[in-house]
Amino acid sequence: MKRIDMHIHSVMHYDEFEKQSDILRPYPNTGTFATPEELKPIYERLGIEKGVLLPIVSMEGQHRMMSNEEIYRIACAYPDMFYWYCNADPRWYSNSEDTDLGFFLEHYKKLGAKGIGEVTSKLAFDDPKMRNLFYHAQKLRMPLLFHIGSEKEPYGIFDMLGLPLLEKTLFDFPDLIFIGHSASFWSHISKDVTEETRSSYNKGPVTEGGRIPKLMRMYPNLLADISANSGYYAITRDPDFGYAFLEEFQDRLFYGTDICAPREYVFYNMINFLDDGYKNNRLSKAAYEKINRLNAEYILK
Amino acid sequence: MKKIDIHVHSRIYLTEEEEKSAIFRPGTEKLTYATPEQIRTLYDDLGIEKGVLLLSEAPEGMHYTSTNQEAMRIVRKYPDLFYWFCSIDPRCETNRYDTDLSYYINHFKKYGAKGIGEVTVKLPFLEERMQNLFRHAEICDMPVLFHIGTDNSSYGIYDVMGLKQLEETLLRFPNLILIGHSQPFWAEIGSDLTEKDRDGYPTGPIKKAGRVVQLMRKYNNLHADLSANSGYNAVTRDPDFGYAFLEEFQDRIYYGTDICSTRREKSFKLAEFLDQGLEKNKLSNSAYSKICRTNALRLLER
Repeated sequence: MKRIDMHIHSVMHYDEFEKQSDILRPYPNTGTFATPEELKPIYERLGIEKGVLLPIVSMEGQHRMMSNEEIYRIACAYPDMFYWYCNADPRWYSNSEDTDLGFFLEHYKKLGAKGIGEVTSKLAFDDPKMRNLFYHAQKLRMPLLFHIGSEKEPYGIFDMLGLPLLEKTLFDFPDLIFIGHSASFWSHISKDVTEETRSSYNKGPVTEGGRIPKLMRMYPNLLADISANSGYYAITRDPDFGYAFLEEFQDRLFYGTDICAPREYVFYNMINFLDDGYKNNRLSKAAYEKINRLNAEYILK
Repeated sequence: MKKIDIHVHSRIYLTEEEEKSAIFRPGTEKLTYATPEQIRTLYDDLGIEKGVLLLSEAPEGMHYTSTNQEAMRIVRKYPDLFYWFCSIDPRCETNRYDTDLSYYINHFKKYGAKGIGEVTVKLPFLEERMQNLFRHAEICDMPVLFHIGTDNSSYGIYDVMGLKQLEETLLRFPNLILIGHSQPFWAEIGSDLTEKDRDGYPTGPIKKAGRVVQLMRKYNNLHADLSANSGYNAVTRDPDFGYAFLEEFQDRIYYGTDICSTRREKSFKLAEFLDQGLEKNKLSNSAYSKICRTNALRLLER
């Protein structure tokens, strides 16, 4: 079964000059986002049929932006390879708690955007402007994929240790599908997370009672993507716990990559973890298929 | 003499479908940034040869995400129509006060950017990340064109009435050219300003010179662009004062439009005001030439 990648970024250049002049991250071997052509062999290798392109429209923590227009352009050029989400920064236009963000979201929804994200704005979940984005997303029934950030992180919606603001948001917007992601999200799979470890890729056995399982049990509108090293380590750090977690929340988890450059990543091994789990009867056929593909197909209809 | 426009915005469509699906400003009659071809038509009417394409990647107040990559694409396709400034948001990358913003500035400088702006980020001038931007702009010898905002503005670098934080910045970065723009900047041309007028277009005679005049007298690194209704209103509300202001600061003032759509703005009459000043001997030939063209070329053809 071919996978759907719930979380991918990409850029497109029209000639060699555009490629050469694109800005790279200022760290060795990190480059910039992969082009569709660079993603093709990676998708082939990982057994991915299509991915969900996510724009970045908030500059916090980024080396370059990816506008809705640029992402829509890629989705149109590669319809067999991508779905797309649009994005909106809550500070757009009037930069107030009552901006009609629905105007923007609806516009892009009409152009085929299936959701909103990756929301990376560094505002708190309970900031009135952020709540305005949730309000409009819920009204338009568009799922919202978000990156949580701590105070020390350069980007991501801010929440405190224990994710109390996310919980209040899940409660206040019961009809909005929230798709969680990021180190500060996944570190809460274990109860022993601390302020020091919450932004890290924590390893070793999971302590029962973590906030993510709790919130997912309490709020059916909380979904999650298992992309990036954050998702990979959360699920694989304690394989028995990880498989049980995938099994329990099989209807609300999405396979994803978060490839941010054409290079090797540890999280490419996620496919082996899923495939091995299925082969060794640690993951049911139903869970395997839903997480790899069917949940995404359902939400992207 | 053909004018140089220090302040223009644009966007580009690669296909007809893209143009048809363009996002507009909410609540407007299909208004968004003008295309280069639309700008060319406006420029022909206004006697403008070339403009400086400005962008901001800051989300505050925006309806459309302009990017440095798009600006480079436009300038490359229309080299006879545009110079460009790049966008640097001080919150990029590490989002800290010590991010190496020179890395970004020098990259775009290498690809022809002549400055940074329009900076519209809603952070105070003295906020440490904003100061980091000024520090790196000064190191890279790149002018910064900025939009000032108040508490009530949706975007713009924040300052209090009296522009005390701008003054401190001018003092701290004497080798950085700061080009002022926006209502809260130009409203301070007169001293009779109130908090509620800062975001507007104060009218009538200027009885006493305001903070912009004081700051321009005191700091050689403060320059100003006359674009938009804010600049137009400031220099025309009291014509005698306006012409004297232009004459006094003729080496540091730039003609500009701030074209943000295809709409013909009231501020387009600035060209007329300048031309009439020259014709009626209210503006010297040298001031006229510098403001309309040569000051910009000095900055852009370095």
